[in-house]
Amino acid sequence: MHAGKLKGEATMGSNTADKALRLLRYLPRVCLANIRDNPGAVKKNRRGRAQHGGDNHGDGNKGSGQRQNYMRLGHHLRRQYPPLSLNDLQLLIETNRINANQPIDLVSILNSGLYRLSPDKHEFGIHLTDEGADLFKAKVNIEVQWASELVIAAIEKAGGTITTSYYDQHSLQAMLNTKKFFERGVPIPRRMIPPADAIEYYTDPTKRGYLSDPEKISEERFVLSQKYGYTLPNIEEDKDYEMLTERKDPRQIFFGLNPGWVVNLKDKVILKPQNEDLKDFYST
Amino acid sequence: MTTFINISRLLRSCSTLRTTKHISVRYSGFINSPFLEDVQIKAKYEVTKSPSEWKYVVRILPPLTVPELALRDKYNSTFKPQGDVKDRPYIVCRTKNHMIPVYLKISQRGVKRLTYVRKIQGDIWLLGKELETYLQPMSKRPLRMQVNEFTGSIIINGDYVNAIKYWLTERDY
Amino acid sequence: MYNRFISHLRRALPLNKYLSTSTSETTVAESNKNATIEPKKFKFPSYQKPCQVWVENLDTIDENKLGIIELHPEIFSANPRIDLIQQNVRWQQLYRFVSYAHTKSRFEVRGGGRKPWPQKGLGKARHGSIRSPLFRGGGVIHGPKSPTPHFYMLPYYKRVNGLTSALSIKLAQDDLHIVDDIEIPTDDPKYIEELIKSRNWGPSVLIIDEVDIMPRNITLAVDQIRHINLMPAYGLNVYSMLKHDTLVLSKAAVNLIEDKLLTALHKNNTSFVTKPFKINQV
Repeated sequence: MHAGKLKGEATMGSNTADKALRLLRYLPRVCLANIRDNPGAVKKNRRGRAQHGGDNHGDGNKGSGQRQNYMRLGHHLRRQYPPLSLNDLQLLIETNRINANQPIDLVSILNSGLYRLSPDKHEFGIHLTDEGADLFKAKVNIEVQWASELVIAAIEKAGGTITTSYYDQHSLQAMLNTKKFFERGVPIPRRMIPPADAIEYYTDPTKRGYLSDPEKISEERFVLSQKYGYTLPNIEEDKDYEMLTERKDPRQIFFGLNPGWVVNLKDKVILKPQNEDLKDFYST
Repeated sequence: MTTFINISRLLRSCSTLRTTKHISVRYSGFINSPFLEDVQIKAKYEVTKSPSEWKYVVRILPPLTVPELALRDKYNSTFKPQGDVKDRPYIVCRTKNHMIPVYLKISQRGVKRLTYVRKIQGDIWLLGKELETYLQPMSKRPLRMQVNEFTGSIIINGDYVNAIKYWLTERDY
Repeated sequence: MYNRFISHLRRALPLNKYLSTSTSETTVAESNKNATIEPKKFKFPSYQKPCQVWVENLDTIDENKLGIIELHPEIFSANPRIDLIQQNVRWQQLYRFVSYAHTKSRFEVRGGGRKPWPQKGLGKARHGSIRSPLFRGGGVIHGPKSPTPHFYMLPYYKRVNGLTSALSIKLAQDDLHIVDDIEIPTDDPKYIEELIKSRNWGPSVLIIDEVDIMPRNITLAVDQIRHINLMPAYGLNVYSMLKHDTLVLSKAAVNLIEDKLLTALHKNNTSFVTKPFKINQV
């Protein structure tokens, strides 16, 4: 086999795939009769029959463990918020996985394909964590499900706005894969109000809750800037004011699309209910 | 013969009659289930085709493939796009997510740590040598390294992920 | 043996059709003055050079080179993973295979309910049934039961890389030909047989077009020839590519296959395709 450089080859040494393919030109035709798997690739699961063949694989006999006296404290029933750091968020924006020129919500972060959420495992959304808070520079309008004071300060210092909002499991399921959801041909569900133990968080203006008074939020924005010692950028004079102040209705899941609507991707039309009872059901 | 056939046919028809009467049909398979007919929708609805509303639908549809990189003047995150490395003796290609393919594999309950450098094209042995001279001062023992030419990957014993990523970004990879 | 040697030699020589990265463009121009290279702007560029392949014709028996097409190296010059090809072939053979081998256990074999002889006093070994597995004509322990499905799903990216490996190997071994379209002037089977013989293809040939409604003439011509088969691009699979000696792709099919495989390799969200396959999912 001619392994050296061929005439006209690029200065970059030959690619290994090219090398292998060139070798194949001198070999018989690859066909059903002469292929095989790598030696040792398939490991058969065999029951051991030697010294320790039939025993408990070193785990001993039945005893106290998970089943008997291990206390399960109900952590598996609590709402989970898988973390996403400010570092990650900035990376997603700078690698063009999220468009920061539009409001960022759970849907746009899930659409990047780099954040996983399992509502059936009691995961209720994003916990935006403060890793990289000092270096965060992106101006965003972001909606997350949980955020600390430092994170809120970091985002508002960079000229952005943040909202914390609650989605129930049905709404989250629709948000996981919007294309698949629209193809199902069911109406967009209405967002449920938070459970009793979360109401306090989402009505708190210091947490930028989506059910809190907007007047109080702007007050708290100023208070936070005083506490952390930065000058609050004036978003009223910002050229992206429209984008930065775009908010969803408490019953709304997707921006611009109301609950009760059916989206037909094939014909590119939206079906809206006309019955009074349906209108009443889906109204805020 | 003919009578026999007739009788058997008659019997068969009787038996099918009986079965259809008493056994409810379970559409278990694709073949024996009926076609879906138009569902009668009683609710009144309005069909709209306004572009101002449809743009919100387009906005939330997930992209099929990884979006192209839009180059920026300044990066605030750790990310740095790959420079022009076309004429180098070897190339460490970026992944489809535009990241450097250097990974840490932890096994044996955290005892064994292997650093993988993947997607190497060109003179992989030269890269192996250069990495060895760079990484050897960080280790007390001789560096253990495996260069696999066919898969285009280098495996190094120990956690050198950040060091190698730094080294590669310095060289525009 | 001689033929085989000749065919190897044929491959070893730098043939004008397969132009690897090493062949410079001047030789192309020399060998065929009419050759036009269609430069392609790839959606996902690669550091490897694009593969340049001749586009041939099917409307005459003699080969006419119509131009050169550029193919994406990630698809047509990918790492030839023979192990992945073998796994794909094994999967394709097994997922549709149902084993009807069947044996009866000691309780399914007829008879054997009565104790054959008393427990004690005979000096013979104790037995409770003449259909015990120890007996001739007795049941079988852990024998095969019918029907046993052997369905399983090969991981998504093993399937994708199996296709790229097979396509790359076919191209490297001069067994992949690209034609402008699959229109032939006559529906006579002799024409297509003559064409394949004169161009040293085959004997078995797989012809792939973009859609599943093929032109009339070629459909009729290959209808009775069992070793020449037509297939739409969506049916492309590793087993059929290896089963046939030569693969003939129409230009439209090449573009479609390239596009589909590149999309698969650069998927934005792989979680939907890489999650474990569930048999009962709708």
